[in-house]
Amino acid sequence: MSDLFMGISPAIPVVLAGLLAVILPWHYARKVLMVLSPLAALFLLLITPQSGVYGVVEMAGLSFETYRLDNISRVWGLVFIIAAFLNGIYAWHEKDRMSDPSGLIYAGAGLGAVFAGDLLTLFFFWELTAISSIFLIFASRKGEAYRAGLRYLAISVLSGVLLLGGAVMLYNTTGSWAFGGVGDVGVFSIDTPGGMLLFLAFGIKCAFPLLHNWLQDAYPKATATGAVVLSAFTTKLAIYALARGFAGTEILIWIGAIMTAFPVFFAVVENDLRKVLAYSLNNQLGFMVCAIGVGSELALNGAAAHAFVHIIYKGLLFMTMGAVLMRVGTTKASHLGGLYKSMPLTTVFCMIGGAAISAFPLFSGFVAKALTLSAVLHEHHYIPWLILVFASAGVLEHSGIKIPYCAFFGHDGGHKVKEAPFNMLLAMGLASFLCLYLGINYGALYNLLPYAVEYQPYTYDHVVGQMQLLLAALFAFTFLMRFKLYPAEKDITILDTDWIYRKVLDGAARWSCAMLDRLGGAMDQGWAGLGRTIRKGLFNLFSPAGSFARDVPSGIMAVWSTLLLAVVLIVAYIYAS
Amino acid sequence: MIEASFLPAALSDHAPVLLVLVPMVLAAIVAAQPSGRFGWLAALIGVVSTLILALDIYGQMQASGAPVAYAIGGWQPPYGIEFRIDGLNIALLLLLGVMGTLALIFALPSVADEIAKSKQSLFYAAFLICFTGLVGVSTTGDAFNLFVFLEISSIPTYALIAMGAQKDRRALTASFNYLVLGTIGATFFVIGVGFLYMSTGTLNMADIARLLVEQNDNRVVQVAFGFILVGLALKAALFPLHMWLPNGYAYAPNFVTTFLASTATKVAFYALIRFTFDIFDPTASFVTGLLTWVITPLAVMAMVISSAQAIFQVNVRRILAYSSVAQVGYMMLGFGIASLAGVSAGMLHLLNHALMKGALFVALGAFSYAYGVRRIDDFKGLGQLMPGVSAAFTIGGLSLIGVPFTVGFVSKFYLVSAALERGWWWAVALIVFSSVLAVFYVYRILINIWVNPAPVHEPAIKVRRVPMMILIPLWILALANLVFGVQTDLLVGLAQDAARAALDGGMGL
Amino acid sequence: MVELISERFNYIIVIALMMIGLYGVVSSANLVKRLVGLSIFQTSVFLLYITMGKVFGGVPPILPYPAEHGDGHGSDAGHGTAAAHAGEGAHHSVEAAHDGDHIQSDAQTHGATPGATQSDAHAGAQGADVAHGASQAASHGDLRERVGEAVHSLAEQAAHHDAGPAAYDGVHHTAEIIYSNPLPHVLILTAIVVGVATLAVGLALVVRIRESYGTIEDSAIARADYSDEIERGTA
Repeated sequence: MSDLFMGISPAIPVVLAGLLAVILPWHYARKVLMVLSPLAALFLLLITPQSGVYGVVEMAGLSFETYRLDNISRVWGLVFIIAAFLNGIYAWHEKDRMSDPSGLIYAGAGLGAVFAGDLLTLFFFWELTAISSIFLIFASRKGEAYRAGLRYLAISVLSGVLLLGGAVMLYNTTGSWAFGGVGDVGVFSIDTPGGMLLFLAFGIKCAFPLLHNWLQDAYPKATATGAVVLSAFTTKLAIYALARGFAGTEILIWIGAIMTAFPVFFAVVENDLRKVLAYSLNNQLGFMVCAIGVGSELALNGAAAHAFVHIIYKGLLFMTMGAVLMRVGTTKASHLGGLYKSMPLTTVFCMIGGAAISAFPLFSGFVAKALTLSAVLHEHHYIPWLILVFASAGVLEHSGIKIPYCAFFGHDGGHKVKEAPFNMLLAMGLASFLCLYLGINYGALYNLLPYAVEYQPYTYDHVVGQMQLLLAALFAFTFLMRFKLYPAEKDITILDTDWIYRKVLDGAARWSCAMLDRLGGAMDQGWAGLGRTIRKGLFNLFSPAGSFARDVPSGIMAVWSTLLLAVVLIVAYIYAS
Repeated sequence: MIEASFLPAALSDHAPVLLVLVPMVLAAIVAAQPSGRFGWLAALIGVVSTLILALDIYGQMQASGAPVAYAIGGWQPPYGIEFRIDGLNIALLLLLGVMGTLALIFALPSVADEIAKSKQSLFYAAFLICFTGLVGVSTTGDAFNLFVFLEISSIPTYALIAMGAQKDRRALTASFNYLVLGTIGATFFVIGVGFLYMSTGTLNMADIARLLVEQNDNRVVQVAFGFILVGLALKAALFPLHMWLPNGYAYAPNFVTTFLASTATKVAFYALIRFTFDIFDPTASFVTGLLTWVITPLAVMAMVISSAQAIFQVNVRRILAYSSVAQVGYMMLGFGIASLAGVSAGMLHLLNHALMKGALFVALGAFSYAYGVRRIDDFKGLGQLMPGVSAAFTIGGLSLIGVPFTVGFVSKFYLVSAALERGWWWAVALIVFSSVLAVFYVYRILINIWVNPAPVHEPAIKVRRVPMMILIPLWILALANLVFGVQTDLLVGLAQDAARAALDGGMGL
Repeated sequence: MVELISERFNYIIVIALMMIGLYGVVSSANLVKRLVGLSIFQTSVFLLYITMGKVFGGVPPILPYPAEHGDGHGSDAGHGTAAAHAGEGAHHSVEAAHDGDHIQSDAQTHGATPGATQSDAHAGAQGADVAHGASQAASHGDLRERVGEAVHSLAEQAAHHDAGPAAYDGVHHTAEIIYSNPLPHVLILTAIVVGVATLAVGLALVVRIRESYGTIEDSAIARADYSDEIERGTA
């Protein structure tokens, strides 16, 4: 039995189930597929005894390694399967023909990408995640979501194209499509052009600073269930790819540190709670990126552990917000509050998720983050370490406290709603259980990690240090709330740099100027003036009325052709002699 | 595809000359009678016969493995005019036949819509002459004869573009500008041919090529190359000599734009490859110097600047026209790379670009037929009103960007690998950058079509159903974009044969 | 100096006309004037081609009709070819020093058939005459030999080409009369037709432009179009 299925990638049953779900008209049948196919994937993962490359497909003279199992891909594969399973339960009640198959194919593609042994297979699944996930955003069927979805698709496809470009370049120099061997990390270098392209491709999906806007733009606009799935796969896949490709690349430490810090400010003032979660997602990714940058075994363990627990507690938080969205119809902080009376269980689960993400001791976030922080400190990166510590406090501020507080406590929004449906509660309960279980019985988590761990998270230092930090942050929040200094929840839209980014899609030229404009608006008028001048200049050059595109009288064109003839003759003259 | 000649010997022996004769004679007949419908039918016959003859010649070449040569009037080359078809121009002839046929199917409703009834027969006559010229350029093996055919194709083109004046009077000025520029280009070309004749005493291409090998130091030859290069580059709309193109494409009747966008500049590009690699010595220092230092920079400028211009246009046809200039840049880049891989990538993009622009312009024709819209703001909500046409347009747009599994991706892939083969990293970066710009201008159109809601009109505007005669070619082209994006062998094979024929002088089959 | 100019007089005129024509296209905003400039530009090219075909001392390439050859049309063709290429050869040897060599090698490749030995010998004998005549015609003393070679080889070539009795006569006639090269004339006749057609279409367009814009000044037309766009809010 197990021999029969040996060497089939766990992605296959999930993707097949997704394709089947496209044509199945009965929604319960689709749901059964959504729950069972992750189990099938788990089965395939468990029967594969040791690391190695399986499922090599030869096609058109190329060989595709569809199933490479090693210490790294096993961690991600396992957590992806868990996430897909939880989502299957969470989405049980939903009767949407669009999101079921796309969620399944998306999860399958994520699995496929994690187990891909070469860059071409990676590219295939990478694009598949992009294309399949777009429907999760479309499924909310709002004009805004369509637009955001298209922007998201454009960026994702761009990342795929960069990935392919980088792969081609590497193939040209090395003659191999390999994405590292079994158990290798840090196989590429950003010093080569091909490596640089791959780095950018991964960076886009990983939401590096200034490449991050698609995330906050698209995720909050997905459906209640869609956001849960989206939060699990794309970015963590990118983290995986980054770890395998670029572990130990110095610059990642700084990129990661910046990533942890800057979303804090946006998250604190943001009103849409799902968007707050999207920002905190960005912040959490920063920890992982930073750990990858450090690149030691301890650090990579930290990144893997963090990704593992993060998928679960971030999923949990998105689930609670999804439940709120489903019952109340909005996740805007200014419209919510006081829901603890009508949704008590959801409240508890949300607080568990919040505690986990804020790394309270005994919760899963703590045991994972401790690894990363220790690794950063161990390699003497003090400034990044300080930034990470600051960001940890920020996480508590916006995810640990703000979300539960604004949604379930705070001023009463006056919503009288039912508790979330049973299947949602079940999924949230399972996730909450995992958050606690992995926090307490941390050995189970550490056993999964790529490298053997001799690490004790619950030392006196760690616990007390973290508690001090958390209490200080808690105190600050209380203090600010008390004296009404905390930014009030208003129904506003925060302009992140995604404002720039939407402008980009309107026109590359306007984009650069808009950035100047925006920076200028905040800092000084002179810059803004310059921005406007440049924009005007570009517009004047390229617009229909602009000098470059103007309907040129034929006389001027004749001059051009004569001029070109002169240039051609001169060049020919020079080259002939 | 086809392994041997399939026509009776009497036809297949004379196939090269019939290619030109059939549409030419039909043009005279069409011009002499008043019926537009008959004109259309005759034009269709002319174009389809070209396609069949081209397929037959392809079969002959496959069977014999040698170029097909035909001495006009029995005068042997180099004294008489020779028609000569090898791996390079057979690709062009097939393209002309296929695109001509598809465009003409689309023409019946579109021309009936846009051209006054009394002028339709003359319109089709002009089209047939233009087609004759294009086929002639791709067939002839005589340098001066090529000039004549080039002008035979150009002069009716001016008239065809000017026919758009019924809808927008700017078609007239566009046509006039094209006339002035096109004539200057043709005159440059003929000066170059004159210099070649001076230094070799012959006009037969193969003969010139043989005699030129030892004359690389001759200044007359170098000047000849300069004139020919600029003259043909103008006809092929190489940046910055492209300025006749955007307005010409934007204001011409829909059918004319569709046909020209997928054939006319392509033929000039073919002539450029023929002269540069087949007739002149591509290893000569002045040729390589010009390709590297003039053609390549202009090609990348075309890719980037024209794409940027396309982003800012308000008329959708101008967006696509500027994008055409950018696409010519891609082809020219392949040409400038000047290796086997480069030229075949250029030829591949030539074929693929005809497919995508064909699909896009036919879709625009359908939009224009139903709603009479041209401006980007008027495209709002078309996705809901005309989902089929919009989907086909979207496929074409994605192909233009170069999304995987479309033909646009295939040719960009080959272009990138050709650039890498020469170690031109910067060119790769610019190709990617230009593709990103393409994302923007395609995005602008698609967002209007699919996302933005249609404006509400009071009273509701009258809409015409798009006839099957438009939908059939549209979907053939759109599906071709997808099919040949996956099944790449056929087009890539044609392009590589063409490049081999140009560079190695062999058959390339 | 004077000699330099007089030798290249035609080319100087060609260049001057070309520049005047281009300047006309560039400088004038009047569409008709622009077309006039274009025509002048094209005319310069006609002149260039005609100059190419001219052989000093050559006569128009019209065969004197010999009584004894009234029967065969094919022989006439033979004469024509031989004459044309003789003229061409003479011209080229004046123009570019090493062209003769090419043509000679050309002739050799053509003449590699064993059956042609006889005509070879004959043509060789006659070739001397041709060379004599041509070199007299050509005023460049130092090029004499080359002219001789060129004409010789061409005569040879022509002889092989026809490879029959008629060819003897062809060579015979060429040897007596120097013809100008007719081919450029023929070519340029075609080009003139093309030019006239272009001019006609251009003028027709100008008429239509005048009808719809009321002006033929480029700047006024651009203004009218531009204000159209502004009105529609698309500029």
